[in-house]
Amino acid sequence: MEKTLFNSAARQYQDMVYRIALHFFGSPQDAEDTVQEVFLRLYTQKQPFEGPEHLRRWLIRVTVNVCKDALKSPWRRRRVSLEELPEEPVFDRPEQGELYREVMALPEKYRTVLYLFYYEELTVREIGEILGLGTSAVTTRLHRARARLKEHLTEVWQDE
Amino acid sequence: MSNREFYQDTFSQVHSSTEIRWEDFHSMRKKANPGKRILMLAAAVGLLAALSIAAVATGFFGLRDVLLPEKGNVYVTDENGMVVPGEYEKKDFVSLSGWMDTPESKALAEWQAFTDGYDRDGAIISKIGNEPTGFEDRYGLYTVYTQEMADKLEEIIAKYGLRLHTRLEDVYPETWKTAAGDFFADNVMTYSGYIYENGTFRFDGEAELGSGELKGYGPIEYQFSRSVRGTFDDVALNIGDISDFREWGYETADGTPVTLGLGRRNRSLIMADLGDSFILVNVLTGEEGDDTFSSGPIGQEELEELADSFRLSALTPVKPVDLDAIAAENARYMEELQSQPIEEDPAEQSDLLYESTGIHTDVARDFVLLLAERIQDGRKEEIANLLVYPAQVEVSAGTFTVNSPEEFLPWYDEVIGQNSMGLTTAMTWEPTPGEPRLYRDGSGLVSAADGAVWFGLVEESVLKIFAIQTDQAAVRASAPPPGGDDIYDHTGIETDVAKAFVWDLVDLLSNGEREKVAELFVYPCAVRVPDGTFPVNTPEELLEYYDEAINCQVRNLIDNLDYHDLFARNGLVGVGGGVAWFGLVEDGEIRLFSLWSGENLGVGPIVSEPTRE
Repeated sequence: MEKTLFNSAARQYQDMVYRIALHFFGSPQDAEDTVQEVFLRLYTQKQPFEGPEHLRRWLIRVTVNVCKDALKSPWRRRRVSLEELPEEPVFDRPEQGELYREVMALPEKYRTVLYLFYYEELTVREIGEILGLGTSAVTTRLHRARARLKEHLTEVWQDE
Repeated sequence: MSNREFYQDTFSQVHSSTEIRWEDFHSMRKKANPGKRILMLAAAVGLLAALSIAAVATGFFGLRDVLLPEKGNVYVTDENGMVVPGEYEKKDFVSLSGWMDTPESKALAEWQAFTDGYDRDGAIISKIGNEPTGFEDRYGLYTVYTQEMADKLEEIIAKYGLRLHTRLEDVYPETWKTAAGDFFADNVMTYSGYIYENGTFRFDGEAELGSGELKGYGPIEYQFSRSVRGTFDDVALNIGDISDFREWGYETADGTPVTLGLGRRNRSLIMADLGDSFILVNVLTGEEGDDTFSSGPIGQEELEELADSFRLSALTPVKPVDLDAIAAENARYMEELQSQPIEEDPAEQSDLLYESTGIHTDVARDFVLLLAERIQDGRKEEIANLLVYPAQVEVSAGTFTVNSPEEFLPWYDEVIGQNSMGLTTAMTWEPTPGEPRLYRDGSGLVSAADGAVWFGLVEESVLKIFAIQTDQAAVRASAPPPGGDDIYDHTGIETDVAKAFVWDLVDLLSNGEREKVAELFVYPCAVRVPDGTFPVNTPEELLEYYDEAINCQVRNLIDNLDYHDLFARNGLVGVGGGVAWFGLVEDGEIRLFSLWSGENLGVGPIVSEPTRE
């Protein structure tokens, strides 16, 4: 990929790739590794992108695929539990820290769906297409994840 | 605040700390392919140069007729492909505007000569930075940032009677027919590009060649330029060394005469003078090929076929350009694109390797490439840790057993080290660089490098090497031969023990001991039942499918499980012609890798995501 476009993409989407991978692995280190891998793939990408939205969706899809593949790779066996996380981001408000911890305490299959739905604002159908799930499976995961968040974050998580 | 806003507020404060820079990837890629980096092209002598000269002498228009009189400066790169600041070297440049006796190319040559010597140290442009120069309105489509440059440009275009470009519009892939007409065959793909108000346009693209040596090797990439006469264009093309090209005249399928230049290295050219415009196609490969932009080397046949892929006659006469219509077409294209669902990757929809081994094709390829990289780097401990133990080492001094990475390491050089070059080449270059061919044989293992390397899943998400074997030496998952026991030699399971395992398995199946049968499998695995294939992670999950996968034809299965019919392959024991496969796993136990009751029903390596809720 051409240098200017690549660096622009990195500035714009690096955090998105990191957050998806963080939700997938629950490990900042593995998420950083994923950032490297995803942008290496972007660097070697020959097909042009028709626009920012095309690029963004390509990156989401590739990030999810890289995360899936990493679980199968013997070179990537460094998943750590929440208790072993080296550090937690500093948040503006305490309830944001609570949300972060609750989300990270969810099983992986709920975390990624949550992120794609709430942060990237993808539809259930789009999430299903990216994760290779049926819409009913995505809906079920969302429902259970919301219920869990509502149960643990009674004051700050709204009924939906 | 909604939940969505709360979520976004929270996670917007989570940031990656990795520094992502194009330069780092560029350096890494170059370093990974030192033999393929683009070097300064060596001077070509002899027959090729003589052919070019002879061709020009007989009235044939060739590369030398578009060659700018002065070589241009290009950055010098170091052995890793990194730009060396402040250092330049001279290269041959050709005009995209037409033969050198045309006003457009003469103007370009003068402009190039001027700009090459102007602001060489970058002092003026550095001072201006990104601030407006005041020259944008008239010279926005050219590199003009001082009055002196503007004056020179005006002088040149007045001298040659040319106009300046006034507007440029992007052209999206689907908009090219609106922008410039239908001038390419079905095998040609056009990427985004741009077009000027006078019809001059440029874009990148790729084409699939249906015959010749490239067949099956993937696309060939090119850069297409049409320069319409009468307007000054400041773009020139660096071709390295002109004497590296072999040229000949050719008439394309639509009857357009063209000049073809086949590069000895990794670039080739197609040129056509259409009268009111000049075509130059920069083909991103040559007789040596280019591992970045193309799938392999090309010869005369392929270059002619690519030339035939364009209907150049459709580009003349030049038609008026409606840039607003192009912009509108672009907008429509983007709307359509954004309303389309994301397409499934066809490779994910049907991955036969995954269905038979539990390993995605791309994961297997990545594993092979990573393995090759570690072999190439001599990372012995990492390779040793990936082998399945106990293993049998076959070297010139005899056959030995190793039970751990530490015991294998003394043999590393003889088994792998001395063959590292051949191994890594076979693992990474056959048949296509970066896309090694993979094999499967029903045992659940994957093979690469034409059978030199065998690997497979030994537990969830863990890949291990079962064999690395060359003509000189080998290491195979196995154990010492206790006196001619072939099964033991290849699997580490004594024949009597294997027979006993089959005997017990038949006994369990006959008595309906489904829980005990389920306990025998390696997990995760997959069950194949009449309505699909489903992954299971535990014996409990498998039991839900037991009747459909195993018990439905258990009599047939038992009949086929003949303990006299044992054989070994790639570290596993097969029975009944492959009805069941079993082997040693890391805890020293024997486990079932697959069990087929018939008609493609049974249990085998893990498969794709569940489709049944």
